[in-house]
Amino acid sequence: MKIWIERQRSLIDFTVAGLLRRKVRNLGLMAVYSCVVFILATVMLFTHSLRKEASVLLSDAPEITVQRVIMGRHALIEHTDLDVVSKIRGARHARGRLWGYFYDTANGANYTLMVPDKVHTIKQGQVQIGAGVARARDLKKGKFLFLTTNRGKLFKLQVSGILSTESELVSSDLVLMSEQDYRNFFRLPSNVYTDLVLNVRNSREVTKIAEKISAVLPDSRVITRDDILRTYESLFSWREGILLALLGGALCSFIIFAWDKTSGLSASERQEIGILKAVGWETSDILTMKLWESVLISLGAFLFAYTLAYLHVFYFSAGLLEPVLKGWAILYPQFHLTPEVDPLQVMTLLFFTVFPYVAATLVPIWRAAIIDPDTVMR
Amino acid sequence: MIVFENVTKTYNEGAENAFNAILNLDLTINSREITVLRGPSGSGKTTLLTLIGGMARPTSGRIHVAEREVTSLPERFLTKMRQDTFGFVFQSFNLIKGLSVLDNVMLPLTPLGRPRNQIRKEAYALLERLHIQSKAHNLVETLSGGEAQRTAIARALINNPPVLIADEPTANLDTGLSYAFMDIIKELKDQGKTVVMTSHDPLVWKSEIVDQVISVRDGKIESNPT
Amino acid sequence: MSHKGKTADRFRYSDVVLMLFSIGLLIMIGSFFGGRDTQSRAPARELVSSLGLSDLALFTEARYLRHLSQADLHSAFQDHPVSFDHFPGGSLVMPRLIGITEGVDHENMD
Ligand SMILES: Nc1ncnc2c1ncn2[C@@H]1O[C@H](COP(=O)(O)OP(=O)(O)OP(=O)(O)O)[C@@H](O)[C@H]1O
Ligand SMILES: [Mg+2]
Repeated sequence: MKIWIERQRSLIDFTVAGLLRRKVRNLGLMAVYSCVVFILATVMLFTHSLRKEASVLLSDAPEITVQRVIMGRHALIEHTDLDVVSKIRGARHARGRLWGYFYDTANGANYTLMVPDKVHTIKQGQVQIGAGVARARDLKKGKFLFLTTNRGKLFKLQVSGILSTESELVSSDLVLMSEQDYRNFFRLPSNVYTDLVLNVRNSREVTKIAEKISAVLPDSRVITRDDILRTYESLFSWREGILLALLGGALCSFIIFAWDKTSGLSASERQEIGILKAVGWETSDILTMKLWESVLISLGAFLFAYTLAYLHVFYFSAGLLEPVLKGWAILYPQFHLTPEVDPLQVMTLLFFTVFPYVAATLVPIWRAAIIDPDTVMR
Repeated sequence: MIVFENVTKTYNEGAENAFNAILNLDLTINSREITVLRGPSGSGKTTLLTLIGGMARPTSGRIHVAEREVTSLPERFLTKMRQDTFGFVFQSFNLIKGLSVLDNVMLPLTPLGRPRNQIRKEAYALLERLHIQSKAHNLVETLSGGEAQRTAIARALINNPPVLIADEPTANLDTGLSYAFMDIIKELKDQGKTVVMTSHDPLVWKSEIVDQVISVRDGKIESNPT
Repeated sequence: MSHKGKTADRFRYSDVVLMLFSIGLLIMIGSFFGGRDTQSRAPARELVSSLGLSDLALFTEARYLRHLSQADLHSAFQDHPVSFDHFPGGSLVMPRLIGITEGVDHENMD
């Protein structure tokens, strides 16, 4: 055992000395490798923890949402429908929600205007805004938010509070206002809502109640909390655009690496193997040494890049992904993801970065190591 | 004792450019003696050394090392022989560039798993004996011909082999260094080691410490060298 | 000249390398055990339940992206799987299949 350890250490010493000999080439190789792993790991860590975040945060989303559909489009739902829904046995706390989008011509941002329920009552003439809105309009508590209706009328609303930055992932673009202001602003009649939400007395009956609602309100569609959670569970699944593009790119670079490796050893590498055999190294010594070499490069690059990706996602808010996710949006939430890592995902990435490289390097080495060392004496 | 029996080495066997570098050769090299192979360029001296040192296998014939037939032995055994029976000084040194003199000398012992400090001590002792300990930490590509030569010799001697094989060891050396080299060879002989060398250099093959001079021409041994 | 001082290595590459790798592996394995921090999620969870929020405010560029789970399924080309998309964010997420594919296993939908 002691001999085994000392042997491995000596082989590593030799390998590292050899790697340092071709410093530029090997560091370049590791840099390219690290880049690929860093991008993949960043996306993997980010999407996984975001999905996890969504599933935790939205576990308290409304159990059932009822939306009216007219000509295939989401339409306002009437107060009478709320009465119908409330009467369904097992339905609880049915209420109408008021929310909608507002495009701010001043800065091109989209806000979500919303009326809170009784708990958060807001006085007429006042608003509570999400931190993103506050940033975009440079607002503080006590200042005024001016909004122009689509008829050109100016609304002056005083900011009575800013929603906490910790909640930004769900609240960044919110503008909470009183029901009266909301209806005036959008010129809504008093008997309509955006949609209805309700809870269910026995959570096992959600499907049954959803079916009942569909039956009594055939012009509506029903969204359950499970639907919402499932939507976010499949968010950024691997088939989606960016991941596909990244995986494609990564695959290409790995193929290029492997091609470069399997297409043969350089003359000096062959000569080195010959010399080692000539001075008495066994084929297995050479293979072990080269195994260390490719493991040091690929695992080293992986560990380095993974650490960077972890820091990037969880300590620097995945800043490099922001432009991609932001798209054309003006508002982008500033949020810290709680570290959540899927070991299986990481091990898969590890396997696919280390294994192909090691295999691709060892095959030509093995072929060179089994020939007679005589050839190097030329 | 190393004995060749009717040994032939054909390069590119079966191909159009097949070439018999060694042809039906019989040869005996005694233990504890110094044997020098001489002959014109291309006569097959290096090929002969590679056969002796277990670096290549003959196309036909038998080779016995210490009364053991080695031609049909598996690769592992040849490796073992290279590891602890032969030390080889190559015509072009074959040092590994980018490593220090010390690392090159330690090379044969690297995969054996012996404590590194012990190996280093032995390597240092050898470098001292060859008077290049001051270059121990220099990279081999910065060495002069004579220093590289001595590094190659140190590497061949590090595992204390009973047989030293040296191919044109004085080709790059001036007269002074050549004499110094012959002193080392004499020392080895006094220690009871077997030495096989090739050389064009009369300073080597005319030396009094040499026991046997074998002339090679066109892959055969010449009986009446001029 | 004495070489006694030089016979011992200043350091061995293998020690440095093995140490760096141990640190890297420890970081990796350590990262698997993160995520015990539920405190920082409390304000967001409170808002979700009190306001009845249904979506993340991650994409604000288009309404079907802002409220992914409430998206309008039937408008022409808005978020059909093969529709051309105006908004960059739309290329990052899949259309909401719930409702049209009730009871169908999403992962095996191709
Ligand atoms: N791998 C090989 N393939 C084909 N021919 C070879 C090979 N190795 C050696 N030869 C040929 O075998 C002959 C003997 O070569 P060898 O190197 O043994 O000569 P040598 O006596 O050592 O010459 P020198 O004194 O120049 O070193 C040469 O003609 C050479 O071209
Ligand atoms: Mg020769």
